[in-house]
Amino acid sequence: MNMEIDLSIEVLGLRLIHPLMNASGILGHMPEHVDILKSYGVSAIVTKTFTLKPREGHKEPIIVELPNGGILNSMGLPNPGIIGLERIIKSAKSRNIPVIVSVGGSSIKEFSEVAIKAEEAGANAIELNLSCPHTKSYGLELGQDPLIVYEVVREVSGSIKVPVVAKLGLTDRIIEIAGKALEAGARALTLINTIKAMYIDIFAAKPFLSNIYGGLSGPPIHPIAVRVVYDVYREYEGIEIIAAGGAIDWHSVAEFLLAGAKAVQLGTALILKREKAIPEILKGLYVWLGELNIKSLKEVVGLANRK
Amino acid sequence: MRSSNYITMYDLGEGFLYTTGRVVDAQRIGQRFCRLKLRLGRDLGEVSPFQFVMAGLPGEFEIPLTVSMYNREKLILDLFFKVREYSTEKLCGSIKYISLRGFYGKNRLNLVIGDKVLYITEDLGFSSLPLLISWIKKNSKVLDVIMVFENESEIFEVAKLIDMDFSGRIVQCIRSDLEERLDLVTKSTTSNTWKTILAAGGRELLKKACELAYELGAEGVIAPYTRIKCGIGACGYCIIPRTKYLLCVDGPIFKCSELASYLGLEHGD
Ligand SMILES: Cc1cc2nc3c(=O)[nH]c(=O)nc-3n(C[C@H](O)[C@H](O)[C@H](O)COP(=O)(O)O)c2cc1C
Ligand code: FES
Repeated sequence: MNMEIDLSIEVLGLRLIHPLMNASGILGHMPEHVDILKSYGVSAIVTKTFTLKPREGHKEPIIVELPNGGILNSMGLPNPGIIGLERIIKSAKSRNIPVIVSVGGSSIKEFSEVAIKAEEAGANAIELNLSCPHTKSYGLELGQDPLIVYEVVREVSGSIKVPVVAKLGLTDRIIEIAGKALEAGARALTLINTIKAMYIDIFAAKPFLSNIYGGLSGPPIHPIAVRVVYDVYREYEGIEIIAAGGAIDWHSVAEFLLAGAKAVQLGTALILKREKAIPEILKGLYVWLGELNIKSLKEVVGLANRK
Repeated sequence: MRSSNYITMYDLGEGFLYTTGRVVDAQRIGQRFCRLKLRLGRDLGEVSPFQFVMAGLPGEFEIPLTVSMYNREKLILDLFFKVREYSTEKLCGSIKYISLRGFYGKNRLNLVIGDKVLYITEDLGFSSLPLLISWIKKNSKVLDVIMVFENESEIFEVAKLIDMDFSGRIVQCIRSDLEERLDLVTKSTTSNTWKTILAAGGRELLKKACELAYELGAEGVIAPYTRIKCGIGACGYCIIPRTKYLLCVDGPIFKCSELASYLGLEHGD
């Protein structure tokens, strides 16, 4: 079959050559990381979550690869603070890659201060981390309360001009929380973050991570992430969703697109496969679309949701 | 999959492995060093010199340690390290099990190594000596070593660490004498026969080794140290400054030319 297939997508007002970006936390806090992510082939860079002040994160052990193909991490949001923003954004800009800055905070004020700094430094969009499941006073501790989500998103959207994405995690109230984020001005939603989990060393008879709990990523969470994307897209049809959670190959990316995602973030896949991940997925998507006789990737977004 | 009799473990996908090691022996060597022998719950795969494991106590700490020796048949792993703070004190103490992830540093020592090698190493790089020497023997190469100690009180009898039956020489010196030693080495009659200058240590030592390699027309191969947090290419903390290399996945060794901007080398090699 010799058909021109268009894998480009428009999301957050950015025209991306394909829908694959790194997930926040896979590199993304030092200027040197930009070249590595570029060599992986991402269409946009998502930074590590930046907070106002530098954070050391949790002490090691902070990560473990699990027998089921997942990764459990409890980094504790280590980052250089806003002082490090300018260098990485500049580095991405000089290489012509759009940059989405992930912003964290333990208060509404911190979220908006970091977002303002990121915009001033040249960020193309802001992703609000309302979903990290393992860091006290950050992330999911705030993001599971619909009212706090509303307040944070409203405050940040009102303080900056670039698009705001709310990154939400798995909770029982995800549909309601998603609605609040959209109502408050979120241009898009990133769904989902890692899922709170733990690993026990059976000889030490102790939790392995120093923080006891971590966030599970990779293939084991993919069916859950697909379900969340599907449900939220069904509820708020036409919204922009960026999916994350266990996308490891073209097949799992295709599922996300069909469930309603316009773009897909890769975390664990980039750790496991590095520069091989994205070319492999793009090749697979190309063949898959050809097989379906579909000319543009845009046409499959949300297709599984048709009534 | 090989496994020892007290436990069977599993493969963790693309080469990332976790196991528990039972401490078989913990021995202090000299005043500041420790040699640890562990029997692993499962095979961690083939290892090559300078690769490392993340070793620790679950829930408490985890540190990168270079593999000193690994017997795949018997699943015996040797670690050799300088005892310097709580975690290394504890590892050399009376604990029974140690958690291990590895082997990390995917870029294995291979054919970039010439027939006659000079290895210059500071204390952190001593750990790789046993494995390096066994590799050198297996590949019929010659190895001369300069071991650089912080001060005289740290010097130990090297036969306690390595099998001395190999082709080459070992010189021990303290840091303040290194310049002099290197000068002697460069001017020695054998200097022009080294095909590879290998070095492990801090930036200054690596820079000197690369300059020496350039001077002698040899290949410079270096094992730098950085902070290691995750060990699997996720966090980015092990980036070699001003390069695009992550030590934990692109390392553990590099050609001097690859790290020229980090070392501030005037020439590329
Ligand atoms: C090592 C690691 C660090 C992460 N750090 C962050 C972070 O700083 N901010 C954030 O929003 N998500 C973070 N995440 C979550 C990812 O962005 C992503 O949502 C999650 O890993 C699911 O995607 P995956 O299964 O493709 O890895 C991190 C994930 C991993 C594995
Ligand atoms: S330690 Fe190498 S990327 Fe984390």
